[in-house]
Amino acid sequence: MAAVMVEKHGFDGLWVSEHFFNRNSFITLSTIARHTRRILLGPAVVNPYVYHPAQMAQAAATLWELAPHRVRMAIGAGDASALKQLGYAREKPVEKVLWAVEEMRNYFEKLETYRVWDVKVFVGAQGPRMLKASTKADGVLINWSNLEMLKESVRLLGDDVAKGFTRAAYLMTSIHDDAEKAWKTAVPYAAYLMIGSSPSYLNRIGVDEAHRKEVEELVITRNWDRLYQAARSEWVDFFSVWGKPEKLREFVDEVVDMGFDEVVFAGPLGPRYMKALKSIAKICRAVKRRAKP
Amino acid sequence: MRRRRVAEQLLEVLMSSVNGNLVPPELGWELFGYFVEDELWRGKGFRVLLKACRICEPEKTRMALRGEFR
Repeated sequence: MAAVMVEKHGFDGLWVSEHFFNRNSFITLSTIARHTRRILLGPAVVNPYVYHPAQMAQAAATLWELAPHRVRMAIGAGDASALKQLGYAREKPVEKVLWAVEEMRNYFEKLETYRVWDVKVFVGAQGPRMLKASTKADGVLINWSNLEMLKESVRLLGDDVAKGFTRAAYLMTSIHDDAEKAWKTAVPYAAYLMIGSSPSYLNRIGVDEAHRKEVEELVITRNWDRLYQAARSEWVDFFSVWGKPEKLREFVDEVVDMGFDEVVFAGPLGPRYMKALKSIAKICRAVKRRAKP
Repeated sequence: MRRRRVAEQLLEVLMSSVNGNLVPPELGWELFGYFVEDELWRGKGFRVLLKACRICEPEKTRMALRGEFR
Protein backbone atom coordinates (compact mmCIF):
# COMPACT_ATOMS: atom_id res chain seq x y z
CA MET A 1 0.00 0.00 0.00
CA ALA A 2 2.86 2.34 0.87
CA ALA A 3 4.35 1.94 -2.61
CA VAL A 4 1.03 2.72 -4.29
CA MET A 5 0.74 5.84 -2.11
CA VAL A 6 4.31 6.85 -2.99
CA GLU A 7 3.53 6.64 -6.70
CA LYS A 8 0.21 8.41 -6.30
CA HIS A 9 1.92 11.34 -4.54
CA GLY A 10 4.26 11.88 -7.47
CA PHE A 11 7.56 10.61 -6.09
CA ASP A 12 10.11 9.49 -8.66
CA GLY A 13 11.00 6.18 -7.07
CA LEU A 14 11.55 4.13 -4.00
CA TRP A 15 14.28 2.03 -2.49
CA VAL A 16 13.59 -1.08 -0.41
CA SER A 17 16.04 -1.80 2.37
CA GLU A 18 17.76 -5.18 2.54
CA HIS A 19 18.33 -6.66 6.00
CA PHE A 20 18.22 -10.36 6.76
CA PHE A 21 15.81 -9.70 9.63
CA ASN A 22 13.33 -7.95 7.31
CA ARG A 23 11.51 -9.10 4.21
CA ASN A 24 13.61 -9.99 1.17
CA SER A 25 13.97 -6.82 -0.88
CA PHE A 26 13.70 -8.49 -4.31
CA ILE A 27 10.52 -10.38 -3.54
CA THR A 28 9.06 -7.20 -2.08
CA LEU A 29 10.13 -5.22 -5.15
CA SER A 30 8.58 -7.80 -7.46
CA THR A 31 5.25 -7.34 -5.71
CA ILE A 32 5.61 -3.56 -5.86
CA ALA A 33 6.46 -3.78 -9.56
CA ARG A 34 3.14 -5.51 -10.25
CA HIS A 35 1.14 -2.79 -8.52
CA THR A 36 2.90 0.32 -9.77
CA ARG A 37 3.46 1.70 -13.24
CA ARG A 38 5.89 4.56 -13.16
CA ILE A 39 8.18 4.77 -10.15
CA LEU A 40 11.78 3.63 -10.19
CA LEU A 41 12.49 0.59 -8.05
CA GLY A 42 15.55 -0.88 -6.40
CA PRO A 43 17.09 -2.45 -3.30
CA ALA A 44 19.26 -0.28 -1.08
CA VAL A 45 21.61 -1.66 -0.34
CA VAL A 46 22.53 -5.19 -1.29
CA ASN A 47 25.94 -6.22 -0.06
CA PRO A 48 28.50 -8.45 -1.80
CA TYR A 49 29.09 -10.64 1.24
CA VAL A 50 25.59 -12.11 1.29
CA TYR A 51 24.82 -11.71 -2.43
CA HIS A 52 27.18 -12.76 -5.18
CA PRO A 53 27.17 -10.26 -8.10
CA ALA A 54 25.76 -13.01 -10.31
CA GLN A 55 22.72 -13.17 -8.00
CA MET A 56 22.47 -9.37 -7.98
CA ALA A 57 22.47 -9.32 -11.79
CA GLN A 58 19.97 -12.16 -11.95
CA ALA A 59 17.61 -10.49 -9.49
CA ALA A 60 17.89 -7.09 -11.17
CA ALA A 61 17.29 -8.56 -14.62
CA THR A 62 14.30 -10.54 -13.44
CA LEU A 63 12.86 -7.48 -11.75
CA TRP A 64 13.46 -5.56 -14.98
CA GLU A 65 11.21 -7.98 -16.84
CA LEU A 66 8.44 -7.16 -14.38
CA ALA A 67 9.16 -3.42 -14.55
CA PRO A 68 11.08 -2.60 -17.75
CA HIS A 69 13.29 0.50 -17.61
CA ARG A 70 12.37 1.10 -13.95
CA VAL A 71 15.09 -0.80 -12.13
CA ARG A 72 18.03 0.60 -10.20
CA MET A 73 20.47 -1.14 -7.89
CA ALA A 74 22.32 0.16 -4.87
CA ILE A 75 25.29 -1.84 -3.62
CA GLY A 76 26.98 -1.17 -0.32
CA ALA A 77 29.19 -2.71 2.31
CA GLY A 78 26.25 -3.66 4.53
CA ASP A 79 25.79 -3.30 8.25
CA ALA A 80 28.80 -4.72 10.10
CA SER A 81 26.88 -6.01 13.11
CA ALA A 82 24.21 -7.67 10.96
CA LEU A 83 26.90 -9.34 8.84
CA LYS A 84 28.65 -10.51 11.99
CA GLN A 85 25.45 -12.23 13.10
CA LEU A 86 25.48 -14.12 9.80
CA GLY A 87 29.09 -15.12 10.23
CA TYR A 88 30.55 -12.71 7.67
CA ALA A 89 33.58 -10.53 8.36
CA ARG A 90 33.20 -7.26 6.50
CA GLU A 91 36.69 -7.34 4.99
CA LYS A 92 37.95 -4.83 2.44
CA PRO A 93 34.50 -3.30 1.95
CA VAL A 94 35.52 -0.71 -0.66
CA GLU A 95 37.32 -3.25 -2.84
CA LYS A 96 34.48 -5.73 -2.41
CA VAL A 97 31.79 -3.23 -3.39
CA LEU A 98 33.72 -2.07 -6.45
CA TRP A 99 34.26 -5.66 -7.50
CA ALA A 100 30.53 -6.32 -7.16
CA VAL A 101 29.63 -3.28 -9.28
CA GLU A 102 32.05 -4.36 -12.02
CA GLU A 103 31.06 -8.02 -11.94
CA MET A 104 27.35 -7.28 -12.00
CA ARG A 105 27.80 -5.11 -15.08
CA ASN A 106 29.82 -7.92 -16.70
CA TYR A 107 27.02 -10.40 -16.09
CA PHE A 108 24.50 -8.01 -17.65
CA GLU A 109 26.67 -7.85 -20.77
CA LYS A 110 27.89 -11.39 -21.10
CA LEU A 111 24.90 -13.52 -20.26
CA GLU A 112 22.38 -13.79 -23.06
CA THR A 113 19.52 -14.56 -20.71
CA TYR A 114 19.57 -10.95 -19.55
CA ARG A 115 18.15 -8.34 -21.85
CA VAL A 116 18.66 -5.33 -19.60
CA TRP A 117 20.80 -2.40 -20.53
CA ASP A 118 19.68 0.53 -18.47
CA VAL A 119 19.98 -0.55 -14.83
CA LYS A 120 21.67 2.32 -13.06
CA VAL A 121 24.02 1.11 -10.31
CA PHE A 122 24.52 3.19 -7.19
CA VAL A 123 27.02 2.74 -4.40
CA GLY A 124 25.93 3.30 -0.81
CA ALA A 125 28.59 5.39 0.89
CA GLN A 126 29.46 7.30 4.02
CA GLY A 127 33.25 7.36 4.44
CA PRO A 128 35.82 9.07 2.21
CA ARG A 129 37.17 5.94 0.52
CA MET A 130 33.76 4.59 -0.42
CA LEU A 131 32.70 8.03 -1.64
CA LYS A 132 35.70 8.25 -3.95
CA ALA A 133 35.14 4.67 -5.12
CA SER A 134 31.49 5.40 -5.91
CA THR A 135 32.54 7.60 -8.84
CA LYS A 136 33.15 4.36 -10.76
CA ALA A 137 29.41 3.57 -10.49
CA ASP A 138 26.46 5.46 -11.98
CA GLY A 139 25.58 7.19 -8.74
CA VAL A 140 26.04 7.38 -4.99
CA LEU A 141 23.58 7.14 -2.11
CA ILE A 142 25.15 9.17 0.67
CA ASN A 143 23.85 7.94 3.98
CA TRP A 144 24.10 11.10 6.10
CA SER A 145 21.29 13.13 7.61
CA ASN A 146 23.16 16.24 8.66
CA LEU A 147 24.29 19.18 6.55
CA GLU A 148 27.89 19.19 7.74
CA MET A 149 28.55 15.61 6.65
CA LEU A 150 26.63 16.01 3.41
CA LYS A 151 28.67 19.10 2.55
CA GLU A 152 31.87 17.25 3.36
CA SER A 153 30.75 14.32 1.20
CA VAL A 154 30.15 16.54 -1.80
CA ARG A 155 33.60 18.05 -1.34
CA LEU A 156 35.21 14.59 -1.13
CA LEU A 157 33.37 13.38 -4.21
CA GLY A 158 34.69 16.24 -6.24
CA ASP A 159 33.69 17.12 -9.76
CA ASP A 160 35.63 14.47 -11.61
CA VAL A 161 32.64 12.22 -12.21
CA ALA A 162 31.12 10.78 -15.37
CA LYS A 163 28.35 12.62 -17.15
CA GLY A 164 25.03 11.63 -15.68
CA PHE A 165 26.50 10.55 -12.34
CA THR A 166 23.81 10.95 -9.70
CA ARG A 167 24.43 12.29 -6.22
CA ALA A 168 21.64 11.25 -3.85
CA ALA A 169 21.31 12.27 -0.22
CA TYR A 170 19.73 9.54 1.88
CA LEU A 171 17.99 11.24 4.82
CA MET A 172 16.49 9.47 7.82
CA THR A 173 13.37 11.55 8.19
CA SER A 174 10.74 12.16 10.84
CA ILE A 175 8.35 15.12 10.52
CA HIS A 176 5.19 16.25 12.28
CA ASP A 177 3.56 19.56 13.14
CA ASP A 178 4.37 18.69 16.74
CA ALA A 179 8.19 18.67 16.75
CA GLU A 180 8.33 16.67 19.97
CA LYS A 181 6.38 13.82 18.36
CA ALA A 182 8.70 13.93 15.36
CA TRP A 183 11.70 13.68 17.69
CA LYS A 184 10.25 10.76 19.59
CA THR A 185 9.68 8.82 16.37
CA ALA A 186 13.21 9.58 15.15
CA VAL A 187 14.99 8.41 18.31
CA PRO A 188 14.93 4.60 17.83
CA TYR A 189 16.05 4.93 14.19
CA ALA A 190 18.81 7.39 15.04
CA ALA A 191 19.86 5.10 17.88
CA TYR A 192 20.16 2.15 15.51
CA LEU A 193 22.38 4.15 13.19
CA MET A 194 24.45 5.54 16.04
CA ILE A 195 25.23 2.19 17.67
CA GLY A 196 26.52 0.81 14.35
CA SER A 197 28.58 3.86 13.49
CA SER A 198 32.36 3.91 13.40
CA PRO A 199 34.22 5.32 16.44
CA SER A 200 35.67 8.15 14.35
CA TYR A 201 32.21 9.59 13.73
CA LEU A 202 31.11 9.00 17.31
CA ASN A 203 34.22 10.80 18.61
CA ARG A 204 33.35 13.66 16.35
CA ILE A 205 30.02 14.19 18.08
CA GLY A 206 31.28 13.43 21.59
CA VAL A 207 29.72 10.00 22.04
CA ASP A 208 31.88 7.65 24.08
CA GLU A 209 31.84 3.87 24.02
CA ALA A 210 30.06 3.64 27.36
CA HIS A 211 27.11 5.63 26.09
CA ARG A 212 27.08 3.75 22.79
CA LYS A 213 26.92 0.43 24.66
CA GLU A 214 24.18 1.73 26.94
CA VAL A 215 22.06 2.74 23.95
CA GLU A 216 22.84 -0.53 22.18
CA GLU A 217 21.51 -2.49 25.13
CA LEU A 218 18.33 -0.40 25.23
CA VAL A 219 17.78 -0.95 21.49
CA ILE A 220 18.39 -4.71 21.69
CA THR A 221 16.00 -5.09 24.64
CA ARG A 222 13.50 -2.68 23.00
CA ASN A 223 13.39 -0.58 26.16
CA TRP A 224 11.98 2.46 24.41
CA ASP A 225 11.00 4.46 27.50
CA ARG A 226 14.54 4.30 28.84
CA LEU A 227 15.90 4.99 25.35
CA TYR A 228 13.98 8.27 25.13
CA GLN A 229 15.49 9.29 28.47
CA ALA A 230 18.98 8.31 27.39
CA ALA A 231 18.75 9.93 23.94
CA ARG A 232 21.09 12.85 23.32
CA SER A 233 20.64 15.62 20.80
CA GLU A 234 24.24 15.09 19.61
CA TRP A 235 23.37 11.84 17.93
CA VAL A 236 19.65 12.28 17.24
CA ASP A 237 20.47 15.45 15.27
CA PHE A 238 23.50 13.85 13.62
CA PHE A 239 21.69 10.76 12.37
CA SER A 240 18.24 12.11 11.50
CA VAL A 241 16.33 15.08 10.14
CA TRP A 242 13.45 15.59 12.53
CA GLY A 243 10.96 18.36 13.30
CA LYS A 244 8.22 20.33 11.60
CA PRO A 245 7.80 20.14 7.81
CA GLU A 246 9.20 23.66 7.43
CA LYS A 247 12.48 22.51 8.91
CA LEU A 248 12.70 19.66 6.40
CA ARG A 249 11.91 22.05 3.57
CA GLU A 250 14.83 24.30 4.56
CA PHE A 251 17.09 21.27 4.93
CA VAL A 252 16.20 19.94 1.48
CA ASP A 253 16.73 23.36 -0.10
CA GLU A 254 20.24 23.42 1.34
CA VAL A 255 20.93 19.87 0.18
CA VAL A 256 19.87 20.70 -3.37
CA ASP A 257 21.94 23.89 -3.33
CA MET A 258 24.98 21.80 -2.36
CA GLY A 259 24.69 19.98 -5.66
CA PHE A 260 22.67 16.86 -4.90
CA ASP A 261 20.58 15.54 -7.79
CA GLU A 262 18.21 13.44 -5.68
CA VAL A 263 16.95 13.32 -2.13
CA VAL A 264 15.83 10.04 -0.61
CA PHE A 265 13.49 10.27 2.38
CA ALA A 266 14.11 7.20 4.48
CA GLY A 267 11.68 5.92 7.09
CA PRO A 268 10.06 6.38 9.52
CA LEU A 269 8.98 9.63 7.75
CA GLY A 270 7.03 10.59 10.87
CA PRO A 271 4.67 9.43 13.61
CA ARG A 272 1.81 9.81 11.09
CA TYR A 273 3.04 8.08 7.95
CA MET A 274 0.45 9.26 5.44
CA LYS A 275 0.47 12.83 6.70
CA ALA A 276 4.28 12.90 6.50
CA LEU A 277 4.24 11.45 2.99
CA LYS A 278 1.85 14.17 1.87
CA SER A 279 4.02 16.88 3.45
CA ILE A 280 7.18 15.52 1.88
CA ALA A 281 5.49 15.32 -1.53
CA LYS A 282 4.53 18.98 -1.16
CA ILE A 283 8.11 19.86 -0.23
CA CYS A 284 9.44 18.01 -3.28
CA ARG A 285 7.06 19.83 -5.63
CA ALA A 286 8.14 23.17 -4.18
CA VAL A 287 11.84 22.28 -4.43
CA LYS A 288 11.43 21.11 -8.03
CA ARG A 289 9.66 24.36 -8.95
CA ARG A 290 12.45 26.34 -7.36
CA ALA A 291 15.10 24.31 -9.17
CA LYS A 292 13.51 24.74 -12.60
CA PRO A 293 15.65 26.96 -14.84
CA MET B 1 -18.49 12.14 4.16
CA ARG B 2 -17.88 11.14 7.74
CA ARG B 3 -17.28 7.47 6.97
CA ARG B 4 -14.53 8.38 4.51
CA ARG B 5 -12.84 10.57 7.12
CA VAL B 6 -12.97 7.79 9.67
CA ALA B 7 -11.60 5.31 7.13
CA GLU B 8 -8.79 7.74 6.35
CA GLN B 9 -7.92 7.99 10.05
CA LEU B 10 -8.04 4.22 10.42
CA LEU B 11 -5.72 3.83 7.44
CA GLU B 12 -3.35 6.29 9.06
CA VAL B 13 -3.46 4.20 12.27
CA LEU B 14 -2.50 1.14 10.26
CA MET B 15 0.19 2.73 8.08
CA SER B 16 1.79 4.43 11.11
CA SER B 17 1.75 1.34 13.30
CA VAL B 18 4.97 -0.36 14.36
CA ASN B 19 2.88 -3.53 14.88
CA GLY B 20 2.01 -4.07 11.23
CA ASN B 21 3.60 -7.50 11.35
CA LEU B 22 0.72 -8.68 13.54
CA VAL B 23 -1.68 -8.44 10.58
CA PRO B 24 -1.91 -11.91 9.01
CA PRO B 25 -0.87 -11.93 5.32
CA GLU B 26 -4.28 -13.13 4.13
CA LEU B 27 -6.00 -10.23 5.87
CA GLY B 28 -3.36 -7.86 4.57
CA TRP B 29 -3.93 -8.88 0.96
CA GLU B 30 -7.69 -8.72 1.37
CA LEU B 31 -7.24 -5.20 2.72
CA PHE B 32 -4.97 -4.28 -0.19
CA GLY B 33 -7.62 -5.42 -2.64
CA TYR B 34 -10.15 -3.01 -1.14
CA PHE B 35 -7.50 -0.27 -0.93
CA VAL B 36 -6.71 -0.28 -4.65
CA GLU B 37 -10.44 -0.21 -5.46
CA ASP B 38 -11.00 2.71 -3.06
CA GLU B 39 -13.44 0.58 -1.08
CA LEU B 40 -11.95 0.85 2.40
CA TRP B 41 -14.54 3.37 3.52
CA ARG B 42 -17.63 1.17 3.17
CA GLY B 43 -19.03 -2.34 3.53
CA LYS B 44 -16.67 -5.28 3.73
CA GLY B 45 -13.68 -3.06 2.98
CA PHE B 46 -14.33 -0.96 6.06
CA ARG B 47 -14.80 -4.05 8.23
CA VAL B 48 -11.52 -5.53 6.99
CA LEU B 49 -9.71 -2.25 7.67
CA LEU B 50 -11.19 -2.07 11.16
CA LYS B 51 -10.17 -5.66 11.88
CA ALA B 52 -6.57 -5.01 10.83
CA CYS B 53 -6.41 -1.81 12.88
CA ARG B 54 -7.76 -3.52 16.00
CA ILE B 55 -5.07 -6.17 15.68
CA CYS B 56 -2.24 -3.61 15.49
CA GLU B 57 -3.43 -0.70 17.59
CA PRO B 58 -6.62 -1.30 19.60
CA GLU B 59 -6.45 1.96 21.57
CA LYS B 60 -5.60 4.16 18.58
CA THR B 61 -8.39 2.45 16.64
CA ARG B 62 -10.88 3.53 19.30
CA MET B 63 -9.52 7.09 19.02
CA ALA B 64 -9.86 7.03 15.24
CA LEU B 65 -13.46 5.85 15.48
CA ARG B 66 -14.13 8.85 17.72
CA GLY B 67 -12.37 11.08 15.17
CA GLU B 68 -9.58 11.84 17.63
CA PHE B 69 -6.52 10.34 15.93
CA ARG B 70 -4.34 13.22 14.74
